[in-house]
Amino acid sequence: MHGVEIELEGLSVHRAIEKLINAGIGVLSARRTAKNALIVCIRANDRKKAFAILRGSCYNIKNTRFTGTARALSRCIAAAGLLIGMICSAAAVLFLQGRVLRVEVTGSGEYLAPEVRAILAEEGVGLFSDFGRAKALLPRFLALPRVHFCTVKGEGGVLTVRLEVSDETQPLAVLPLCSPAEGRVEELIVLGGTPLVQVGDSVARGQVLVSAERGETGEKLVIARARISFPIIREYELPEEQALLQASLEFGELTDIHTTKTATGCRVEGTAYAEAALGFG
Amino acid sequence: MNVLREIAEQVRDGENGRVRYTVSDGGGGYFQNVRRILEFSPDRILLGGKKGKLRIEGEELSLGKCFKGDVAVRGRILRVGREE
Repeated sequence: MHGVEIELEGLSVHRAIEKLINAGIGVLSARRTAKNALIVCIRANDRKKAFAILRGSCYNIKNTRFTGTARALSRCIAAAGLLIGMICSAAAVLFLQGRVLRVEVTGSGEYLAPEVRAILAEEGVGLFSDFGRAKALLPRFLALPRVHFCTVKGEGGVLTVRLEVSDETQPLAVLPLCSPAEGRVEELIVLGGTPLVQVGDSVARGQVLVSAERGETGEKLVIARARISFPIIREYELPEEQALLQASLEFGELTDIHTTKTATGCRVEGTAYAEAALGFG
Repeated sequence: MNVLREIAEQVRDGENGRVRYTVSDGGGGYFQNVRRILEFSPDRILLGGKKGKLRIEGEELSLGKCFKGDVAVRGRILRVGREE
């Protein structure tokens, strides 16, 4: 029901109901509130007509208020500015909710933030851009060095790019494995490629030990490790102990070590080892 | 035949200008041919028709829709009587 309530006061105030009815105004309800007061509810459209009828009478109109939807409507009109502001705010929030206001790079690949921002700028993803455009750049983020996992999420105006890097993602070698020194092959492990020598063979420095072979997708793969032993003879103008230390610093692991005192210091003879690997962790 | 006589009496009352009414037991009522509201209080309402008056007594009485001679009374009607 939508109407207006009028509170009337006066002697024989119930006569006011008669007046309204006789004037063709429909009374929706009426109730006594005091001995000489009552509240009459009429349609909101008849409000002006009712006031015109009651103006010259002996009744006091104490209060009027809208009821039902008319009351809600009158309050909305009185607070029109507030309503408009609320609607505009809600629209702005809904619009900006799906737009980029800030970019964050997280994860172990956080140090790649400059590269991520450069990719976004190159593709025209900036302030107020749609989140969908940023999510379409996922393959480019995955192509960054050492990145093995990437997610792109947009929520609350924040575009979050999470990058995870791994040291295990080494590119497979496309070059052959060559001998690091002139000597004898002590160990040869080949997981990818074609071995050209075997354990025990004598090889020259730079000689190809494992050649690259074509893989399923067309690239050439070499996954191999070789250990070459070679003899060393070195003279040091140092005492024996220091000469041995110097030799281990120069050649690493040494076996079959034999030292000889010389006029100026010490001669160190032995077998050293050199390793070469491709595609191994 | 009794039903027809009753209907005829109702029609005659209406034509004679008396207030006609329908009251529910322990509830409100609906009154027709009302010309005037002579009294109105929570325990007593006096309605005037073209001829005669109707007295309504009860508890927490209030008026519902009032328009073109039809008046709805809400509350708990205990007694209805005619007054000349």
